[in-house]
Amino acid sequence: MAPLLKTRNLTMRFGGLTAVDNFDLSLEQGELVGLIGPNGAGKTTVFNMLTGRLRPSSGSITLQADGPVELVGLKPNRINRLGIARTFQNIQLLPEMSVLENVMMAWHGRLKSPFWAPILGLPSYRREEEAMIDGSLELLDRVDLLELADAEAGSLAYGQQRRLEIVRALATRPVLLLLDEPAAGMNPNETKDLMRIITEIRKDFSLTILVIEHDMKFVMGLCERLIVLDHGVTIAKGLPEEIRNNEQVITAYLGERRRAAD
Amino acid sequence: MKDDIRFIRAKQRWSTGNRRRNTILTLIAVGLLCGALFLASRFADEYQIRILNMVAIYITLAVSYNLINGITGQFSLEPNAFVALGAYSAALMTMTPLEKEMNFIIDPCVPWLAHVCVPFLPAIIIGGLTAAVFALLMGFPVFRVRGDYLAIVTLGFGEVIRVVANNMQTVTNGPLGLKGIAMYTDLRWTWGLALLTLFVIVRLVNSSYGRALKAIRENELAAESMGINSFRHKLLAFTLAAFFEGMAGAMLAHLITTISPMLFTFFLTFNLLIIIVLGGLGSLTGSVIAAIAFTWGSELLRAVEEPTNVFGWFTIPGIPGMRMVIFAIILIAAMLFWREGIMGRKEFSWQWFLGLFSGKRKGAKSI
Repeated sequence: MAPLLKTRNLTMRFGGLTAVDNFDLSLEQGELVGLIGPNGAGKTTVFNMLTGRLRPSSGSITLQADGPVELVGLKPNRINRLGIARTFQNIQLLPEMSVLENVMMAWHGRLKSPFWAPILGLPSYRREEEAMIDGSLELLDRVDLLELADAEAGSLAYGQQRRLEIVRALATRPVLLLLDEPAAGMNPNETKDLMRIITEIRKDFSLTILVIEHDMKFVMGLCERLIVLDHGVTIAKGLPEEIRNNEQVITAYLGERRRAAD
Repeated sequence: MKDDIRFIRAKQRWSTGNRRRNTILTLIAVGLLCGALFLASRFADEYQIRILNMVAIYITLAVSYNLINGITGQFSLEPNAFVALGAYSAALMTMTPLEKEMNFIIDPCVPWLAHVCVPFLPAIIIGGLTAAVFALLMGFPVFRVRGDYLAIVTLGFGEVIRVVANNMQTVTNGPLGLKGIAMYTDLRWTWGLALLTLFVIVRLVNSSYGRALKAIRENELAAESMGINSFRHKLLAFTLAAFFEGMAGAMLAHLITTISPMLFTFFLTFNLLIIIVLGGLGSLTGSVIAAIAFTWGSELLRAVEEPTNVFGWFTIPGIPGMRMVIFAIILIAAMLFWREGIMGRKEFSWQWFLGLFSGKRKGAKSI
């Protein structure tokens, strides 16, 4: 079977700077892959290209939806509807709206009723709205945010906001979930909870997940395969054990850290 | 679905809940309003009725303008264009061929318009549709830009429409304008339109579509990443607003019976901007309150433009345009001390209203 997502020679240049250079990625259905690398390696740029936020300078991205679809040039909302959802490194919730509304907002892209249906109060719309509330509350229950459904999203603790972002992405019913540093700023307990949640949702929604993370415990414990970026170049690919012992990776990334720790 | 007690509680707060009670209360309120208007139509004098008509027209305009500027957060400056389009197209529809012949004295009216004459209701709808079609066509280019650029582009569009109205002698009769339009507008029409506008826009804003519009206002990046087509939703809000603004324009034309391009300058937009900012950008309730206060207030303020005798000591000569100075000062003061406007983003809700009487103040629901 063809891979779920395949990128070929994906390159992003900003003026003279090549942020991502010939990035090749192939994700099989159901995989959980980690994308790691030092700060500024181009990881988030890869996410932005995959979700249509940035248009790559060259290269192609093919998603296996009903058939192969070329994603380069599509708008972010279209790509989301094709089944790719993401979270953001710097949280992008709607802080003044309630937690539940944040999730229901993500449901809207799948709404079938036209705009006059709620105005006329058509039963078809009411049914959809009910399903939306039920589904959103159920999703919130999964990540222990049900009690906070009425709270303003901006008033939540940092870890809760990160979980809300994941739930919101899930509400769009993705096949591929892109998580951008989901554990950033979390304490070890919260990180452990998050790992459990990711494992659960992956199974229950049969998701394919690509995750950017700096927390090595998280990455090593969760991912089946790792890709390492440094200055936009893919320097290593492989199983977590292999990456852990890869000389190049240690110099580029873990090595730097070790030196910094001395 | 789930019968977990926590789940049911959370759901109750959200779903239909007190929908029936709210519907009944709303119907009672509308009934009371209609009664009051009926009494006004019997006993109030012509001047007061005129103010009531203007209040309703301004409510219609402010609520629809707030849909695009406040709820969707797309700062635009073109309602004068849509009001003009609605007013002209409706007026040209209701005028009889004879009236047109008498109006178009420089150049005769174009043949396809000269012999048209339809009743008031279809004319209003044609006025609204004309504005909506223009909004739709205009939306494609203007929503490619955001923020300040959007404001400038829409401001330009508003001016273009006015200038075109000034120069299309054979369609709009140019600067001479249209005179002797039948005065069809009365309290039933204006308040009927205001209530219809409120009904449609409130229902839309409280639906999933309203959430999408607010999501675009709050964070367009997140909204698009979650599958909301921001372009289409902006276009929807814009076109719907234009439809109601066009119908309000039709009402206006048949209320004041004489229209000319001078009536639809940027000042009209400016007035509406004062209303929605004072009421609170994003609060439909605020727009209604501010529209009433503004229209009524500007009638009261007519006093400052007339020569005033202060306690018999001396006389201040009337200064034309003084009202606008005072409004500008009020707006500046509001921006300095009351940035959110009267209502902020809060809306009226029956829950809150009943809470006033039971002594439990729960606060208006923020949307």
